Amino acid sequence: MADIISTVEFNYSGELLATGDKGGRVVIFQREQESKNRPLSRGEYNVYSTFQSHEPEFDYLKSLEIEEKINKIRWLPQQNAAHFLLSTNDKTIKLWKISERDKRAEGYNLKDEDGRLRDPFRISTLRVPVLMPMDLMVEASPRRIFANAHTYHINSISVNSDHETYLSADDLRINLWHLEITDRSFNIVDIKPANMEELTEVITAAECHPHQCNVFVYSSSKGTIRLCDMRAAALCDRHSKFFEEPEDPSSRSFFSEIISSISDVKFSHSGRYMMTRDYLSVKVWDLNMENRPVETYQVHEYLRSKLCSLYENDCIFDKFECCWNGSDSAIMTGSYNNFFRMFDRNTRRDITLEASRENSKPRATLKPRKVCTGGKRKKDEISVDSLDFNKKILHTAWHPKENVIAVAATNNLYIFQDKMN
Amino acid sequence: LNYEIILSIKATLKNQSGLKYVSWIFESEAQKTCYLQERQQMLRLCLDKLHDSRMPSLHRSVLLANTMRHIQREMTQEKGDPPAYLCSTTIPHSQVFTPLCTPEPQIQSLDCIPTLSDMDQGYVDLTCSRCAEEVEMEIDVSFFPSAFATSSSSTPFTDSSLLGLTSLLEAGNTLGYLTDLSLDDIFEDIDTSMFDSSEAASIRTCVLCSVSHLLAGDEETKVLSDCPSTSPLQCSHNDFNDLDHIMEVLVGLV
Repeated sequence: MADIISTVEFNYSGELLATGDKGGRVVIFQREQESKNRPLSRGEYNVYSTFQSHEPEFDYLKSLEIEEKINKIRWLPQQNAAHFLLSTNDKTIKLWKISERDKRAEGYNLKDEDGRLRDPFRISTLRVPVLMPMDLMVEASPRRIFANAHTYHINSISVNSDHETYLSADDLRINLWHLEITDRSFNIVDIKPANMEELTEVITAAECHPHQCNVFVYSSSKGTIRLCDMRAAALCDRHSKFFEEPEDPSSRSFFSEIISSISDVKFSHSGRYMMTRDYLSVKVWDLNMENRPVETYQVHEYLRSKLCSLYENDCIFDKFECCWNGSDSAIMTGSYNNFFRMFDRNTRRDITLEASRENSKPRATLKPRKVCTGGKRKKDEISVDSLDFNKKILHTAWHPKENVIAVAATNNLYIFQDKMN
Repeated sequence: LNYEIILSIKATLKNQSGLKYVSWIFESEAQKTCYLQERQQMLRLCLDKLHDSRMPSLHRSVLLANTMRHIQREMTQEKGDPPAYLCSTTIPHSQVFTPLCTPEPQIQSLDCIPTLSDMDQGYVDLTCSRCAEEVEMEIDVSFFPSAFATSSSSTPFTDSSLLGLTSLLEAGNTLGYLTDLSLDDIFEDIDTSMFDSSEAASIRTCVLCSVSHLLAGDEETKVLSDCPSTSPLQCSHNDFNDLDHIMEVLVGLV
């Protein structure tokens, strides 16, 4: 039974797509090789492996249940035939090895083909086992378990460009791990105040720089981003750069702080820019300019007048993610009513599409959608009041090289490709 | 609920202490009423959501607490130095002027002070800040059963601060809402507390009480459900009998 998808991530080549769900399961899809026999199935994604990554746990000391929901999956760059990924729930990070087995050894001396032990005294000759082909089997095995390092809920993990270390961030702390060492991690950011009553800000997301292995950023619930250099100090409590856009005083409301909370931060592939997602907009920042973003894209500005009701039904706390395309020329993020938005940074064009079964048949082209904000509603437009706020697209992913996108709509995964002529 | 606020100018004013604060200037009575109602609703929702243990999340709690603090700051700034528009009008019953718990009172009625029953349903006429302060004081008097440590004849303003039930009666809390507070400090200045504005800084807010307990534990859900101090907030919707229970629990704490 399909569970609510909680994370989506392509691997470095785009050949594999991993999803994690609320039930602690990971499902990996693999792209079919293009073949002349089936020209129409250009690169379809089929299920490659499914495994249970995390189980629900109970913290006896605090009488609290630890959810098995997978918060994030991050792939490691491929170094051999096997694939490695990190998956995390609120408390524990696991390194999984996914490997293929398509051969089996047959002809053992001490046991039969069905596994029964042979009586050693009956063996008169020795034989060398031979490798025989078998049906492809994909196995997932946990290789490392990184536990007990986070008091608060883990919201991010990010593999470093050195391919040896990675960081994990919770509400108040960020830890640096070595992939080989599970019994200790290095705390690099700690914003927990001495007196918890003074707490006014939490960490919401963190990411390593794609090329500079000493640089990382973390975003906060107050709409700020801090860039830190691990070479500067052991504890990176003092940032190297501080990114914040000054607030427009005329738009201040009760909800100003809540909607300024950053839900996701992503470096561009080039490493020169980073993108942040807050409740109503996506902002692109130039790492060399701290006082304001270079680009701002309104995702669903028509919701600004509805903030009161969105606050009542808790939707205002939804955490949307965002992603870059392979060339950093476009960005994508989700919205409500199963809508997701794509912005072309060069042409400044944007499009709203819908991920739903009713409106899309396989091979059909997605029709652009439009939300009517007031006045007369045109045909095919949807009015703001008829949007379904239970259908939210929080997680999207873009293939690192091609125009293939993965969109998670509650418990359904949609994969869309560029139409080839 | 679908409020729309049309505000005209937002001005930066200075109150008597020289502190800058931002205030709304409304074009009409209707606007102001609407705004105050929405603010009240926001505050109530904040409290409800903070107590909702179904979705434990430090991130969410911090955002709610900050929003609540912002509203309270705005309310106390208005009360501490009432701007022109507030002085001459009758505003709807607002939590700024009453404790969150409204028990059956034995209030000495002075001429300009309405009875609590008035406040329950009706309107408080606050034509002068002096009146407002007296209202606060009167409300506090009848609150605490004799089981509580201090005598009822002593100024109860600080008593209520212990319970945190007068969170919103603070004026000009310059130290911020989440300042630490020891019981000794409260009792020391008992006589002058209501007249000395700096004393207000040491008063703990009701919100503070709940929020601090909320944030004190590593896992807020558990703490929230166990913390007796959160019950004063909950009793805003309960009747007077629950206040007894709260008192017992808090006295146990002390």
